[in-house]
Amino acid sequence: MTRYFIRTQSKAHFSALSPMFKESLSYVSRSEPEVVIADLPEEEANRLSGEGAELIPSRQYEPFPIQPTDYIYQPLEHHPRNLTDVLRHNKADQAWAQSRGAGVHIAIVDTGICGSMAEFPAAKRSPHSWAASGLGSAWTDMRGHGSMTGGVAAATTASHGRYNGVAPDASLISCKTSFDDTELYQIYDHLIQLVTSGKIGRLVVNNSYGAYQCSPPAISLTDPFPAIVQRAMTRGIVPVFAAGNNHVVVCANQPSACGPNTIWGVNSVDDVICVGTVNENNVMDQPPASPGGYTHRDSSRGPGQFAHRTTKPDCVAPTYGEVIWGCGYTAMEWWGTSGAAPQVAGLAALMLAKDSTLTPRQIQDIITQTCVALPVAASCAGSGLIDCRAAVAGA
Amino acid sequence: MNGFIIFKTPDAVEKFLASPRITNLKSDAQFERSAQDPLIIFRKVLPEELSTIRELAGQFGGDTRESIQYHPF
Repeated sequence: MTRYFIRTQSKAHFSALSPMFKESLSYVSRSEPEVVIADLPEEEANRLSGEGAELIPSRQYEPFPIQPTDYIYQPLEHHPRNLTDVLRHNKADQAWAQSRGAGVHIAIVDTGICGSMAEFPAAKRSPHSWAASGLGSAWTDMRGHGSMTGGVAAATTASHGRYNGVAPDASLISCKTSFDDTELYQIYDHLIQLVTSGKIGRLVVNNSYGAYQCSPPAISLTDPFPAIVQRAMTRGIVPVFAAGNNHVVVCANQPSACGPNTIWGVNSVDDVICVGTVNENNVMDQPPASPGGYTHRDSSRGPGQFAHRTTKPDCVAPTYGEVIWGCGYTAMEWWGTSGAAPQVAGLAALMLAKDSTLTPRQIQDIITQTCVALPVAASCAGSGLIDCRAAVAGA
Repeated sequence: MNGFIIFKTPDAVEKFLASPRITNLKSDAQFERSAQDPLIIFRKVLPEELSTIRELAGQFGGDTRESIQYHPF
């Protein structure tokens, strides 16, 4: 038996067809009465075709592969905290008397940003944004993730948005990608040209993506994408990378352990700033609210596949509560290390707005030297919790 | 399939792109040049075409590498 869509020429044609198959009907279309669905043996199907009916065999579709992020970001009905509390926690609000990020651009390499949110008014949205072919406007975000990272870095309440990000006066360049490294290469190619041509001034790039795996990926630092990220730094561009979410659920490591290493690829290069995450109480080994779910204990551990001078992550930032997600707001237990990295990207923008001559290395050094130390090994939390007020003061 | 072809010189890029074996590919394959590097990004290449591209790139000193897919953290 095969299931068919059966399309007749008219209601009269349907009535004129052999009556036998009508006992096999499983469905009659409401909007198209000439279309029915039936399970038929081959002989009956051939007979109906001979009577002028069009038979279309049914087709089995498969679900699209589920993205890791579908599991990692679980919305809660309510959380007592939000992005404003996180910005008090990392002392961004205390840094704004010294700098709010004006004149500095932050590129968000991500799933796009919802440009209709009040937190991203026209003045904040750079015309130099970029979108990979086929993904639509850089200022749309069907996934939600890029609006989260962009909002944490540089949302503003100036146009009646609900939240400020760390650098509320910085400009955003949305770089929308499907995270194929050929696109990532082109994004950095584009950004380097913007800087070297003088179209924009100082630039920070947030990179909240990477490899979900437990053993070293086959990546060389001379591959095109890692190589162009390193070249961007020689042009004064400041790349900030999320450490990853590999420690417990993905790689089955002990939550309290500060190893083995699960920070891979260019995210682990010495001169990029690599960021992990902690909870409201500055810890990263507690179980999730939902058994088996992801939370802060999944923050990837160092020292980093390619780190030599530094131990990755360089630092950690807190993530919890309600945050911008897509074209709205979502409360979550954590925001992944994806939500931690843009806090540091915003912090770098605050520092550059205060002193535009700082090099990427100086920014990394000041941020790590002003961290609040945490009682865990460096391969868990690096130099500790970021302190935006102290870091901007030191810039 | 997407990926990179990394050449040693801009001249090799020109020769590769001008080759009839590339311009006559049957698929919708796309080749984009880097603004900064002697490098070509290819997209929409059929798996059966990859060996042709790899072989031709090799004739001009090019190294072919398939793309890596990352995911949001």
